[in-house]
Amino acid sequence: MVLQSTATVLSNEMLGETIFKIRVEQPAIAREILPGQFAMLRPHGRTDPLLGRPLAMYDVGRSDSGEPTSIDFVYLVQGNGTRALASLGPGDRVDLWGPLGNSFPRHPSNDLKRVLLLAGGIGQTPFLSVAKDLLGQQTYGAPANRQAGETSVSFIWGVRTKSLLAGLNDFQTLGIECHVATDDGSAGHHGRVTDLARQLIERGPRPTAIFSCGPEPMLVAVARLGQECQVPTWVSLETRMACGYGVCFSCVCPVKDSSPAGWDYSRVCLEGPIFRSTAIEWNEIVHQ
Amino acid sequence: MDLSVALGRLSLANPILVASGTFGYAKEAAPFVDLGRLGGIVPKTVTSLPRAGNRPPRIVETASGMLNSIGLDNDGIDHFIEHHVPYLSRQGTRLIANVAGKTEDEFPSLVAKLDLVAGVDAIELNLSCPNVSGGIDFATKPEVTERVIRRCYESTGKPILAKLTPNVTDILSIADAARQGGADAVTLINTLVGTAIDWRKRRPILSNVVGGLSGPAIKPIALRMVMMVARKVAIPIVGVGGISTLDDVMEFLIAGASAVQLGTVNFFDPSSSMRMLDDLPTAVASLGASSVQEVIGTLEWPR
Ligand SMILES: Cc1cc2nc3c(=O)[nH]c(=O)nc-3n(C[C@H](O)[C@H](O)[C@H](O)COP(=O)(O)OP(=O)(O)OC[C@H]3O[C@@H](n4cnc5c(N)ncnc54)[C@H](O)[C@@H]3O)c2cc1C
Ligand SMILES: Cc1cc2nc3c(=O)[nH]c(=O)nc-3n(C[C@H](O)[C@H](O)[C@H](O)COP(=O)(O)O)c2cc1C
Repeated sequence: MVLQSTATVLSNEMLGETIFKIRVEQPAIAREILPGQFAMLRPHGRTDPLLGRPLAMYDVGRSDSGEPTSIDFVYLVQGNGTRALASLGPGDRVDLWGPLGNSFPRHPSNDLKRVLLLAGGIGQTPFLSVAKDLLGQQTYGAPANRQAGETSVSFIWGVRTKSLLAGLNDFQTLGIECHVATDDGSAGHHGRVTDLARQLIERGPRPTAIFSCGPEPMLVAVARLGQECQVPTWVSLETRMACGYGVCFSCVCPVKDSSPAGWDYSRVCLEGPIFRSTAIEWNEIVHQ
Repeated sequence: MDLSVALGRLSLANPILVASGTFGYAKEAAPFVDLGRLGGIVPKTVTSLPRAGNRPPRIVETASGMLNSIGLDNDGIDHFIEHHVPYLSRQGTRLIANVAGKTEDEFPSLVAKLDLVAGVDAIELNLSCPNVSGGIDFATKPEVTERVIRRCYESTGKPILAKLTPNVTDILSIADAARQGGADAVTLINTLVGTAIDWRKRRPILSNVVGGLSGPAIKPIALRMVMMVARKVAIPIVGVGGISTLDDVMEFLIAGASAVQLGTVNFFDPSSSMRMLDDLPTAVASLGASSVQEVIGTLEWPR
């Protein structure tokens, strides 16, 4: 069930210079949220900044007996909203509502034998739970009778510079193949994450699915990569939102349809944030 | 406690409504709101033909507020009647459809269409949407306001609410024109036109350059307009603009609003309407009143 709640901050630790991990106590949402879904967060009881900020579920915290009790979000401080979140400490309260949006494909609905997770910037955040879920290392959502599929997962993460690789260790300890790329060459491949991905795909074995999250220009390149390598590709968009649940019509993106124009705006918070890359009319998206 | 109020011919179970464009088509809000408890629902503005709306970015946050330029993104009146009215009209609350015309003729034709639709309890006219470039504003000249409203009034037996823009020099003359045109009530206020600039890029942030300011930042302006119209024009008022707590609701009622609409608060506090309804009876009782109607417009003017 989707719900709004005023919840207590359990911790809010700095993972890197401008990157934080906030843990919020909210068992009802923690029990239901799926990999790729998000919640809206804002400090409780203020009107400046006013709007909630969409953050992807990073992981679910559990009690000693394994019951979901809290949700972790990892966020990059960019502007007023995330700066306000960064100023919170244990015991402070946030308003949050969720779980919102759709999830990445899960077993057994798609061919998920070899999944390539492709993250840019702060776009790694949905992928820790995606990987754990695919590998059967953790269960998310209502008790699932899902057979843990036979999946191998690899993870490629591109950032501007090394200090933004906060939490890389969380992925490395899953026992999956991890690669990094930096624009400045301070770690891993020197260059674009999509170029590194192309090299790895060409070396083989080919992934059967690509899941990607990152800034729009990167997702455009990922969509092209998926098409050229003929790998089904899903992208999670980081669109600006006001409400997160479909009433404001601000987070729209152009999605192909059968209308005369060939596309119409869809609400990313409701129809997404995850789309098949081929469903989006990329030519209509203007980069700012 | 009697919470009921009346807007001319339209009676409401309570004075707390949700504002057009801030509540989608209500279904989206159902996880957070027991729709049947609301005094009424005003869904997003519909137009004669489908409109894609403006390109993103469509919003930008401002100090205790936000600017929007959605641009009337909607699938048109026929789709609205077919796909949204059936759901909206079975929620056990008043459905007030909101329409905007591009021309003076379009308003009465939209109204005439809705006149035939069972389940639509009333019609709100969005006379001035700031986000449609080239759009004509029908609520900045009293003669035009009166004429458009009269033609709508003559096209339907349903109650009519005229939603007015604050972007005028004399709101009193416009509100009086709405009264003369036959409106059952005026809805005050729509958003205030503003802009936001990214100075580093030397560019406006909104694709539409300008947008409508809403949220707590505009509450004092809305409250003043409600107060002024309540003192000078004999027409029921629906107060809207920055309301985010029950205290705000009470201020508008005292200033002279017979009902209120919640707008931007739905974005940042999705279930706020339910908490306001929980607390409304106690607040009214604290004034020694046993009905909402008793407190409306009871502002004591300083001598
Ligand atoms: C579904 C979803 C999940 C997300 N998950 C995460 C996450 O897990 N971790 C994380 O750090 N971030 C995530 N984001 C992005 C995050 O929501 C934004 O970074 C955040 O809202 C920015 O808020 P702010 O207060 O820091 O910046 P603001 O003050 O709102 O903006 C800072 C600057 O960035 C610009 N800006 C803001 N949003 C956008 C945008 N979408 N596109 C272009 N420019 C923009 C503003 O105009 C301003 O110049 C997610 C977004 C979505 C939609
Ligand atoms: C994103 C957004 C979209 C809106 N769309 C409409 C609309 O379609 N029709 C309309 O009459 N008013 C629209 N409004 C105006 C609101 O109904 C309301 O009059 C205004 O926002 C002031 O109230 P508030 O400060 O409580 O939001 C919109 C407001 C916002 C913020």
